[in-house]
Amino acid sequence: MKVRLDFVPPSDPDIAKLHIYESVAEEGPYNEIEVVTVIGTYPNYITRYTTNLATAVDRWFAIAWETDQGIIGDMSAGLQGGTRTLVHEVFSRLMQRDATLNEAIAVQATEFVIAEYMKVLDPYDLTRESVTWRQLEGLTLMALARSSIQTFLMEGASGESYTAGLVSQKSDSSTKASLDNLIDYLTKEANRLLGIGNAWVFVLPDIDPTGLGGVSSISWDHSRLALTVNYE
Amino acid sequence: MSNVPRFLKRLEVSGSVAEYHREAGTVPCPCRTALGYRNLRWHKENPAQPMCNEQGYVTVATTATTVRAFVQPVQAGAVRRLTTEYIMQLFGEVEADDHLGIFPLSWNNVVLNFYEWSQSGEDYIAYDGRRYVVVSANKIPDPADGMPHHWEVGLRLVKTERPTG
Repeated sequence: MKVRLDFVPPSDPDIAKLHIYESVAEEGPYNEIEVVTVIGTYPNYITRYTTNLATAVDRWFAIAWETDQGIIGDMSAGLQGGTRTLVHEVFSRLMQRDATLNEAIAVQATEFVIAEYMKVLDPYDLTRESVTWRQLEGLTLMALARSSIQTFLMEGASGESYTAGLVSQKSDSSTKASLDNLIDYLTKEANRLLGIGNAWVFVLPDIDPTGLGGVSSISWDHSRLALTVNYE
Repeated sequence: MSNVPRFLKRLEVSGSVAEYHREAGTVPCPCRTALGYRNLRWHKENPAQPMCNEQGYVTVATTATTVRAFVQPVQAGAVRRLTTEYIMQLFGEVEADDHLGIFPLSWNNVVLNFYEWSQSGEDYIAYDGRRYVVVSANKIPDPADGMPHHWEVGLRLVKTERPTG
């Protein structure tokens, strides 16, 4: 039975093999069904593979990467056949928007954004179906903004200009300013789509929890994640 | 801090697509003469035998990869502004289809080496549908750390076709 597996490529330069495991249930046990050696080379490892050795499409699958020293890394979380992780979906959309991004940094930004926004410990626990299309676009823009910060830092840290032989590169202030504006725009748009970063003020009826006087209002500024209680 | 990442990013955005192709022979062709020259007459007399490459090898280890590079005709304005000495050092006497190439040190995990480039045609750079041999190569250091930064190579058009069996 053919099953296509999509995954995020590893960031290690010495990967030699891909192990594929299959299980009847999510919690296991997982049995190895295939070892793939044609996986591309760093930093262009394969991001999908179709195994012909699956027992059924709806089984649970997991992968692990092996280094050229024979060390097999941790097995990934199990994923049911025919589904994609949210990390992979956002990462794919991210690279379509800016193919020049460093893949390792893009994966890290994607993992962070999903874990932070979706409030999960392991971002790989979520599938594409876990979010709405609006959230998917918001997560993509947020990951793009965070990945672009690295470019911004690199431009700033590597000096104003240099000349090496016939190559001369200059990073002027307008280039950095436009990148700064772009990151700012991406962040605002992502926040808008994800519904975060807005100031919320709740006005409550007078209450008197201490018996010493009323609390007339409680303001909750979500953007600063601070709770302000005003006593009168 | 090295300037190479900035250079590579610019290449990814603005560089032209070129093919880097090098062959290292391992099994000599039976056609080779005692002096090591390739003998096309032998191939005409033995048409069933596989055609060897320009250096007279039937089995070769090939390194072929698509890279991004800056390639300019030698008549282009940017190249014409270079000093005559530098142009002479790259090409000797300039020919009509000569190009100047600026290449990365490696691309997609493949290390590029332009030294000891064969002039027979089995080593070549394919750009815009035409093949070029490297007639000179300089590895330029990075002023930030003194480590290699990029290649500057003189490219000359190959006017013959590749041998086919």
